[in-house]
Amino acid sequence: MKRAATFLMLSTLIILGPALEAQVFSGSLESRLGWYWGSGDLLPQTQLLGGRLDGKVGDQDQPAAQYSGRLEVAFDPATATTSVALGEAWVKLFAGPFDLSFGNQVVAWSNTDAFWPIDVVNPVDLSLPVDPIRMPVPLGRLVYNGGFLTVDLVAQPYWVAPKLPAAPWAEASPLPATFETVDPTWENAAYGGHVKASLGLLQGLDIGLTAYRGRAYTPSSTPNFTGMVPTSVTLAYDRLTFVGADLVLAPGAGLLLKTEWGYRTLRDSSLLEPEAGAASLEGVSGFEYNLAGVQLIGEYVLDWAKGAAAGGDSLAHSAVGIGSVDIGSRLSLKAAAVHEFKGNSGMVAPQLSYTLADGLKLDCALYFFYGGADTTYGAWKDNSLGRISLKYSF
Amino acid sequence: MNSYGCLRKSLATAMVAATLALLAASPLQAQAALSGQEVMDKVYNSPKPKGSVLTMAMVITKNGKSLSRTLTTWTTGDVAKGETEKTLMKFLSPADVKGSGFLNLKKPDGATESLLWLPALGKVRRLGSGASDQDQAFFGSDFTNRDINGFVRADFAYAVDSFAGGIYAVTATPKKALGYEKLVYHVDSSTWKYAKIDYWRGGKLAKSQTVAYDKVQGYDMPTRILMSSASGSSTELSFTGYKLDQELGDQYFTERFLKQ
Repeated sequence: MKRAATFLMLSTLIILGPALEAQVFSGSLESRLGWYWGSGDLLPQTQLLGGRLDGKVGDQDQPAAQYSGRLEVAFDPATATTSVALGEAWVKLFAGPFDLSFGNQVVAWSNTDAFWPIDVVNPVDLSLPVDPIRMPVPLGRLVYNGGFLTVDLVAQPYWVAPKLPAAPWAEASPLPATFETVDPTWENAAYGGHVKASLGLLQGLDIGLTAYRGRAYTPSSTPNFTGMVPTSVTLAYDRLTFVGADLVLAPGAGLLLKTEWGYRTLRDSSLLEPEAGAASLEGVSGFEYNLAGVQLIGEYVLDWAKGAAAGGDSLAHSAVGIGSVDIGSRLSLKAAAVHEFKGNSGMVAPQLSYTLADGLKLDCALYFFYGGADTTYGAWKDNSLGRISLKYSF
Repeated sequence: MNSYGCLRKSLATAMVAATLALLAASPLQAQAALSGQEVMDKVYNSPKPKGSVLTMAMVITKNGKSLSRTLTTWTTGDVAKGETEKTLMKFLSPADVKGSGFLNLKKPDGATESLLWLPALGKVRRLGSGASDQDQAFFGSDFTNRDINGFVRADFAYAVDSFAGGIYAVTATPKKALGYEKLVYHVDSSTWKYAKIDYWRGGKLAKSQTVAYDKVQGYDMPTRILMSSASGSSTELSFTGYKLDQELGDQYFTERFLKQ
């Protein structure tokens, strides 16, 4: 039996070996430094070494399969600890109009910039809320490429928790908190899909619809009482039902219009008549335009949440503005700003990127917050910070 | 042979020589009589491969320091023939841009669809395409997007400045705002390919493009294109791989192929 298995493995390698073409190993080395503007305290920043292997099976241009894997080693100088993490790592099979992939993946359906209403598949690393990072999760993905129509279906066998903001970005809970566990059972599997129609209208029109069933990545908090006194809180990632729609239109003259909306209900609440505190709507509408070499992005953001039984619904409006310009082949400048009208708070973030040499890039970013202490961004006023990153890619 | 016979022979020889000289001279004379439009018609109609896959290295030099990129482009279609011109580019190096790609579909009616693939974000972004986008630098180089995408023949009025040594100097004056005051093409009449283009802006020479050609599978293909800017910077495109007359179906010009 053992000999047969060995023979089978060797045979497979001998047969598949020549079929493996264009395996490429690449990687990056990144050193980061950050500091809090007000206090001068250093911002904990990991030093990263990443390695990546990419390859195709069969013809280079029309392969039968493709694979990619990334491993990241992070060293935290603040705690002198090293961690190893698997990033995106997947295998993709191509069969006619179908792409079938398995493994750690990031699914990005959203077309907007600062906020992503229809990106519901991946949890987000909010360790540094100004730089949210989608976390790859194990999932199966089937994409149908039907000319103008693309159907993208995903299935996640188990749920992965997000990384929530910690101090000084989140207030410490006055009560002890425990997270409700999410068992890796079929009941807790997530699934959904995005359908996109790309029409050749004007300079291009994309219309999409999203549906997803899984769990929210923002926990709800339920106090636990001993008698009349709350003694602890339970944080739960509620079951989520999500529907969304998106549209991108290039009407011409360099203009791009986009809008994206996502409606979600929690705890298996009805979509049309949700229970109190169990429904929310997020929408982003905006434009992109190139004015004399400066790429301008403007977006309006609306956030609605159905109130809990005791309170009313909440409605918040925000505006996002981003301007970026490339000066020559080495220097890129960018400035981003978010303003929340309720409470008049916001963030301004100028950024600079400079290519020192092939594969060697320097990035600098500053984040300033303003507003009252009881507002979304004003609460972070003392967290205004600067970051520098030097990255060598090979 | 008597003197009359000698005279007849000399006269015949002279007539043949004169006829031959006339025959040799007439193509040059006919070429010299070509108008600017006729010269550029020959340039645009010169044999081109049906579909092609080209690999090239791009070196951008400024102040003595260089940045390099390698990329592969897939192209097919000809707007002049009523077809959609399809171009897909993928960067092969350096590592920080490897895998990024750009898809451009230029339709006969002038509408252009553009998509950009950013592997780091995992997204394909649709781009708005307008006149100001066309005048932007092509990935930080001395070429603009318009220089790379090609000019539309009908957007210019052409006039021959000179014809010497088999080279036509043709001034192309744009009929609408196209980012340049005029272009001056230097066209080799033996191949009907331009060896040089001077780009004028604001009364001054802004930059010059020189092109070297070689025969590849029967076509005169560029092997090296150098764009030198008056500011001192330069961008050199060196072609390292050619696959010509390829049957490139629609599957090569899709988001799916862009992301592979």
